[in-house]
Amino acid sequence: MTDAEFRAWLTRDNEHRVVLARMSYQYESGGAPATGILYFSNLPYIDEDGDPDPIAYLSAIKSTPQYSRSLSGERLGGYSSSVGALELDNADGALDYMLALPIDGSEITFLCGGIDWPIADFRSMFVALTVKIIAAAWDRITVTLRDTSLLLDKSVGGESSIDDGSPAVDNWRAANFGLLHQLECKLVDQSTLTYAHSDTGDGIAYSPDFEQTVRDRGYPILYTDNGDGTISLDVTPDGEITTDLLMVEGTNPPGYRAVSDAMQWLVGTRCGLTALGKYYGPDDTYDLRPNTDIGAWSLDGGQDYLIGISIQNKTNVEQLLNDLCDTGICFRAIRRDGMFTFGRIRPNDIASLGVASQATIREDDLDDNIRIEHATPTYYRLQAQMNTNWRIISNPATALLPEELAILTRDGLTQIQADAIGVTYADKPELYNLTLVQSPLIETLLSGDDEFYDAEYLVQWMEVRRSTFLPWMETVTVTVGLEYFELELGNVVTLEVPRFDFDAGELTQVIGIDINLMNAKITLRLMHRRLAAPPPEGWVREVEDADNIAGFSLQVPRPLIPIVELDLVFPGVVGGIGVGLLPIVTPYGSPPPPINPLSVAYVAPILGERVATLVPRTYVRMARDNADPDYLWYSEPGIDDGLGTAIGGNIIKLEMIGYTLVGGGVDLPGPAGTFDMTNDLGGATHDKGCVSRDPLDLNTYLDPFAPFSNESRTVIGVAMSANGFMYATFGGDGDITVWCQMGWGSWATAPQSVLFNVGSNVISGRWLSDGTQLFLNVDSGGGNTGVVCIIPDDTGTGFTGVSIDYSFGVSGAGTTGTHQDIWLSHDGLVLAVGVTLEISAGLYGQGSVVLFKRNDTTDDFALSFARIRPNLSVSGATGLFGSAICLSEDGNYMVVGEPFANGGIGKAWGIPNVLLLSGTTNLVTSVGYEFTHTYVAADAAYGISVACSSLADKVAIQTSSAEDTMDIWSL
Amino acid sequence: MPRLRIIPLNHHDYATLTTSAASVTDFGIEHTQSSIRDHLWRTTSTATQSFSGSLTADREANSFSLFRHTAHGGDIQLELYSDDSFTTNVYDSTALAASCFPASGIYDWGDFNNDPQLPNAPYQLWLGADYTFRSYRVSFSGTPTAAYWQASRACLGKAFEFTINPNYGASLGFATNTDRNRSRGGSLRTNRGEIWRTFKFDLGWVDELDRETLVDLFATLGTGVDFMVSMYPEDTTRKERDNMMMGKFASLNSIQQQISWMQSTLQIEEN
Repeated sequence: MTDAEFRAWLTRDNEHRVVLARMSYQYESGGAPATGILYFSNLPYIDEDGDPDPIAYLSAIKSTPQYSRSLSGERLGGYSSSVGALELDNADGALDYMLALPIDGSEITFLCGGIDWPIADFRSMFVALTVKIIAAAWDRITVTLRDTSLLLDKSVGGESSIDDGSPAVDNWRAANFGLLHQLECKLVDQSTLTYAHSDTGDGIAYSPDFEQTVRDRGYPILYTDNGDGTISLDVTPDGEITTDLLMVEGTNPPGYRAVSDAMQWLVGTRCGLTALGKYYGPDDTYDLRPNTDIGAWSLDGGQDYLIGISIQNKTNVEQLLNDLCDTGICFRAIRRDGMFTFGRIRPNDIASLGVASQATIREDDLDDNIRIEHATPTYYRLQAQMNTNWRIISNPATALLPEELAILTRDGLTQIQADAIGVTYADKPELYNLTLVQSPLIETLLSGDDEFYDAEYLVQWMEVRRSTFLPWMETVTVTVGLEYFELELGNVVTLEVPRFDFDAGELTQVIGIDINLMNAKITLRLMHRRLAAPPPEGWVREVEDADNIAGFSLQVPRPLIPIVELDLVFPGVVGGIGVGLLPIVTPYGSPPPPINPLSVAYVAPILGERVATLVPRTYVRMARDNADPDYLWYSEPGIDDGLGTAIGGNIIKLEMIGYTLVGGGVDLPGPAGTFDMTNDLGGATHDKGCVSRDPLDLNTYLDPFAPFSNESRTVIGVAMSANGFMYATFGGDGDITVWCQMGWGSWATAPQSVLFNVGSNVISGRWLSDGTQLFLNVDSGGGNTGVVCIIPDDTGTGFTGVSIDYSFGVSGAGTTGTHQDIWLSHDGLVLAVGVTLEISAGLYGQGSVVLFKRNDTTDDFALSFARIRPNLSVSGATGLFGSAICLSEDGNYMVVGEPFANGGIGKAWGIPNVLLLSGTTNLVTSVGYEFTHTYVAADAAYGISVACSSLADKVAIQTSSAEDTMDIWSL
Repeated sequence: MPRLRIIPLNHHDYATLTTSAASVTDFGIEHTQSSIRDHLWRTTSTATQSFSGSLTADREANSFSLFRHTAHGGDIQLELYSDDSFTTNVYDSTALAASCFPASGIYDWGDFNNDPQLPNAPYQLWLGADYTFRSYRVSFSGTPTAAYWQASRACLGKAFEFTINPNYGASLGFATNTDRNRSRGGSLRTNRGEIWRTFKFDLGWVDELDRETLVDLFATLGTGVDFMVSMYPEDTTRKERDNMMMGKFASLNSIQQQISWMQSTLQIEEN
């Protein structure tokens, strides 16, 4: 029977599944010890191939032990295991004899197979050692077991006393290994000023990096190395004697002082261990693959994690191994076959392991759509070569940005919001058990001489993230079928859980395994890193040709901070309706909304987020349904309400921050637009906009159809502050009106202020920050340089009039203002301005995006830090790069539209690591991911409108009406 | 028409057993004295051979049964002797077909096997009279389908037949220790276990004589001693086969005094 056939059999639960236990014991035969075997089973089974006679297994097993292994600790270096008891039925007393068997430490093997199988087809499930046998009750024999960790449950320590020759040997020297700093030396003989630092003199070596030095109260003094673990001083010291040592044993070169070396060092006469796990004979002790001779450790010492450890007397070997592993950021474990193994949990870099999928096997407990993929066997060896990707950098301090250094502390890590995920799954604890743990990676920067090894990783890892988006670790507990019995700690596993797409396809590593043979279940605890922001490349087109889509679902990552955000952006460019994405979250269980077959994007995350429907070529009406506050409300497009069919109305901007909703619209080509906020969205006139939310109570919503204000004018855009307490409307007459809340209970019944009249100029981009600053991208419309205006609320009581705090020109801004955009990251730190029609010679029509970073000192954006230009060889010279811009919430990812690239077909670009850009960057050759598509229409203008989710893992790109499609790309 | 019979005392369990040929190691003939399913007696070949038992005192028997045997296709012969040295024969069944019950059933589901449980059928021999004996021999001959003679449990004893049969509604049931769990995905996940039969008889009319016997049965057997029970003895059809077993009382029900008769319930589960 092949392994595949065996696994397939395990999945068929209508078979008789026999569990066999072969328990060895010792007895005397002819004056010499001999090994006997007892045979037990849970179902009647006869091994017909027994030699020389068939072997009948006694079906006395009441329950087989549950074999549990797990890794724990902040760096997952602590291995612990337990093997439950084997319960045998002894109601008839037939097994009483077992109580007298010399069975301690003997091996017991558990096998699984079919009731009518030959024994050769059975598979060994795990091996344990017998600890003791007791009669727990009159009718029951209990066999307590452990895995081969039992062999490590002993103490080691130094072999020499400090005062050699003394009959009272109660003070032992330490056994030292590796590089040790400031090791205390203990006085051996005062008359000769002899001090002991180690129990032997082996391996003391001088290192160019760490010269053995003896110090008296910290000051180097002269000494003589006696070569036996002691030193003699020339003069009487003043205080404590310490030394630095590079301590290795045998003939190993000085470089061999890594964790793996220490494990090897423990085996042999030094500590009295034959092996760290099941012993397969000389030179196979450490082999991860049974019956294969690889000689000894085959690690690259130069890449291994260097350690130093001073082993005091009576140190437990198990605890010592755990300490070593925790120091080395690796783990050791016992495999189910009893062999010793070790590796590294790498939640920060699982993908780099290069794991390929293996056989896909049905997961049994949830439904047929769930898969777990094993790692390839080659991974086992790779796992043993820990730290292979670690490289040394010269100066981590200069490599890390100040803010990154600031958060690389224990206190910084506590900013992770555990509740951010707890809410979602709180009502389904039986499905998922999620636990946040502290990142083991960051921990490494805090201690150890080799911390710089970690630094580069940290740079790569943290360079683009803000404090609220720290990656965090997550463990997922799933119970699967017995067919996964071959998984070991450290194995890489991929879960696909359609009901919780959050975990779908992510690489995880096993940190806990519970094998329950009797119930044919295995419980796995999987750890994986949860990124706050996605990797910078690898977007994949999910959906295209929106006209053919009746609806599709998008996955929206859960935000780390409990802010519900809806961010729809409709730039309102000619021919395009605009696109938007909705990263919003609601409690589990919200029913799905009705699906509009005309929807361009139906955003209905699996976890029950609210939904919104974007309707092509008409306005969008969204509001919260008071009757069912878990819904967003939308209306059908194109309804003739007596004033003309609204076929061209564009929502200019629609945002939902918290639970506040703002909308605006203009009638095209219906009757001349009059923006009347007193008319509700479903009233007699065309819908224009609304604001809805009781700012005092997020669970109470104002009637979105009874808006708060009157504003009778054509509105071509709205902007909403990030905190939801203020918005601005941009009238077709050039006026900008700001509305804000009056106190905490209601919205103002009249405009707070009329700020600014741009006259005949065009406001092509607009943004309201947290309510204290209004950003405008204004083109004079007369052929002059455009400006970015930042209008502050200086008094904190609202905008009181036209007050331009400052404005700054963007070099080469366009002359017409067309196709310019502006975007401010939600944290207010990054400002992006799209400039499409530069007046400089040779640049007109190419377009560019100018990036500004807020100056913490002057609190302005006066200086740009980067300008991104298109690659003309890819896009052509007149692509209007920058016509549409969208930044991720943290300002580090940007999507830029280039709608007239390639002669009008258009394309868009995803740009990661915005914060790291500087100078003038050519897009394709340096940064950026190309979103492109081939359309029929020559003027498809792909990228005329773009949007990305707050984490930039979803990108929406719109064409013009000539093609009338939208793509959604996701990581 | 024969009525419900129970053989409370299995003389085979008290006999000194010998075999005509060596058994397979760890598959000795003493296993036929055990109620444990995987305790088996097995021969090394299908050559004609026998096992014999001798007792220290005279005993009476009118029934012989063999359970979980592989003699199907071969013959079984029972001989009783009045002495303990197998000399004076008092009963000889002659060699009879081990498959004593005809194949039956409508199990025609595509594998051309109308009676899939036939290989598990016990061997049952009703002697027709009570015979006093002190030793006995069971011989196996012919050509069985298996490669050896094998049996798990033997029963030789005298049946007690109830004066009045149980009420209508006597039930033959099944029980299993299969683990079952409905998964989150809706699948019914099972971990298949063993199965055994159960009997439940309501004795609606127990006369005084049967009451005394019933008391003796409960007191002697308790819930730990197995015995042979047959609901339709000598029916010779599958009906008899399906309704006979070696089992133990699952519980000892009370004997209730009615006006002039008694009532009780027998609950039995198969070994």
